[in-house]
Amino acid sequence: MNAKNGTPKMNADVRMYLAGIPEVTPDDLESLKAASKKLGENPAFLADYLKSRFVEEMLAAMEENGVSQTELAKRWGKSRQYLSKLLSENRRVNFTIETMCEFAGLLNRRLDIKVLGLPKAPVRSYRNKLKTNGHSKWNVAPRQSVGNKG
Amino acid sequence: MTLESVEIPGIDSRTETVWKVRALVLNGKDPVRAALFRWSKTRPKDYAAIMKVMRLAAQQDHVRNPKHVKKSGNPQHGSVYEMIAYTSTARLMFFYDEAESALIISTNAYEKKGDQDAAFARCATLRDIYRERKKS
Repeated sequence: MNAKNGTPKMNADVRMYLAGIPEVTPDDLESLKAASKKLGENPAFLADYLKSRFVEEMLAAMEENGVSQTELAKRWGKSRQYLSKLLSENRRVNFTIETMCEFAGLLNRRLDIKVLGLPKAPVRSYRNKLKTNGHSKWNVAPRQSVGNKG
Repeated sequence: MTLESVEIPGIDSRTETVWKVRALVLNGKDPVRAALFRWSKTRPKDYAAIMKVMRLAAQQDHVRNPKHVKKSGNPQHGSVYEMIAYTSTARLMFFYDEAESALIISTNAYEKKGDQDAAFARCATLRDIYRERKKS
């Protein structure tokens, strides 16, 4: 949306707040793009995000089914504290795929895992990447075959 | 006065399955992307946590985990929310634009230990300006 000419309703606090905001340059935006790309490729970030998404979907399923944490814990045969820790993404609770399947099943859901392809340059094999002219990056001669020579 | 809603780097159509997420730019001032840029440089953990919540918010009708999103407790503010970098201090205020185009509008940032109520009030003011402009 881009709008001009209207009744300004900005109060002094907002004016002061905005006055203190530094300019965002095109370079800053490029840097932000690069940071978000890097983040999107970080396995720890992605795992954390997927865990949070799973919990969100379970909370939505609980809401839909009208089930409380206490009730669900009872049905699952776990303590309410355990379930509470799971739902608050407590790091001490082990999020195994089995746990996730069990949890989803209790709420009439089924867990699925998809591995998605990304539009990216083809992945080169690690070994090929290291080797140059038959030698490794560290100039170590190619490994001789080892075996019983008789 | 100029008012725009702009895209946020890292949030795209692959992420925005339920809501589009936009940042409000008022008179050329871009508080949300300025804060994200600052956090990405100085506090990467906060930046990552906020980006995670933004993705979650874009993919749910509403975020249920209070660890990630909270609504302002002050009834005078109406429906304004904050995205939370859990165990950290970064916060991003926003509101939903349900009327037309399925948008979450991030308006301003704040850091814990600051005045949370004032940050929510700013968000509510910016939301009202946005709605008023949309009508005209």
